[in-house]
Amino acid sequence: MTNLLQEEYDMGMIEGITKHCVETILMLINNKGFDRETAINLANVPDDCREAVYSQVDIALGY
Amino acid sequence: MIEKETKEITKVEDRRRDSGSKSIFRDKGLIAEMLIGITDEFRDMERDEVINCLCLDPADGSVKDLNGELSLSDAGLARLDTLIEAVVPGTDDRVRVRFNVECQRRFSPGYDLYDRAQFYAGMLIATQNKELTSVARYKNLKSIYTVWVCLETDTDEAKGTITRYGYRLMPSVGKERTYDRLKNKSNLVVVCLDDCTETYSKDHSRPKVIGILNTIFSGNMCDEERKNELRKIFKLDIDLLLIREARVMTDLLQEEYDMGKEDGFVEGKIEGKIEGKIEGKTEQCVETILMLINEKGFDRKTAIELANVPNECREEVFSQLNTIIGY
Repeated sequence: MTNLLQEEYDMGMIEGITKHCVETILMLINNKGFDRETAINLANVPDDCREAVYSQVDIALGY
Repeated sequence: MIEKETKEITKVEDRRRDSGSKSIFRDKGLIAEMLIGITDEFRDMERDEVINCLCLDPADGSVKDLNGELSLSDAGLARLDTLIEAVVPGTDDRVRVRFNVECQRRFSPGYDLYDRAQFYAGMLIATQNKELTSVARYKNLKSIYTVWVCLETDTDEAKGTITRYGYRLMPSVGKERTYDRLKNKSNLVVVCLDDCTETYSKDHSRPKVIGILNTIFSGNMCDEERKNELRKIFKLDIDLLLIREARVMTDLLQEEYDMGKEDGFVEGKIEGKIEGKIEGKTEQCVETILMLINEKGFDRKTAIELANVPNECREEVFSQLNTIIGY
């Protein structure tokens, strides 16, 4: 795999993880009744996605 | 080498088809134009008004894909390419349309396309209100549209047409009856593209939806030209990557590889990104489940439930869990 393809793969991986974390947190809040902090804790957000996940969750929750 | 790459891409393509993530049909502007051009509920509305009626994904603002809501305990259902919902303006939240778009490269893929379309229409009705019982199940049924965008047609006459089918009153037996209380909720729409090189700007008699979809899927334009045309003529700003991906999903990539063209590199980037996304979600799910079990003390079943495993990763996640903890 060339560097460029590897970059796309890595970028996709981070996007996939971020999207899944956001969806999981929103599901835990909206469907399971957890509060925001507990939901974030349970979703096991990796450090490199943390900022993007928090930002998207806050937008979705209207903060 | 090419054969190996083709197999790899086909594998990813198959997985992506399963995930139902035909991203171009999650573009708000495109879906709004299709709702305006195809449905009764949104006809003649402005695009921005329709966008305000769409159910959007809070994560990225694209049109929300509702494929995950399709399930019946005792029916093996097909996975749709795209399923979205929109609230009909001026009504309460329960009056919605379910809008399914299927993109079909071959008109005769070995079965009757209309049969498959009718199966999908039935599925879209049957999977509504499934959590309810008896009377409630049949209340507030949403209108459904299953839209088949066909790049090939069975006859030349069909090219460049939008044809809609639904339930309607048939001739009565005995005394003729004209009073009809059936409100059609099941719509099957066949959108046949053409290979017309005339753009919509030169021929406004052609339906706008055909013009837009033709610009995305048909003709010999390069992807940049398609993007410019969409912006200039239809005021639609669709991401270049989505336009490229749209061609990939219509089997063109496979055909181009078969013909030995060497332009797979760009598509490879897209596929790499898609594969990365799936791998990322899988890895995240496995790690989260293990953390919930080992660090938070949840049992396996609850941990899996809380980890929100997407359908497209389910098999791989369970396989990895099986290896690690004997799930």
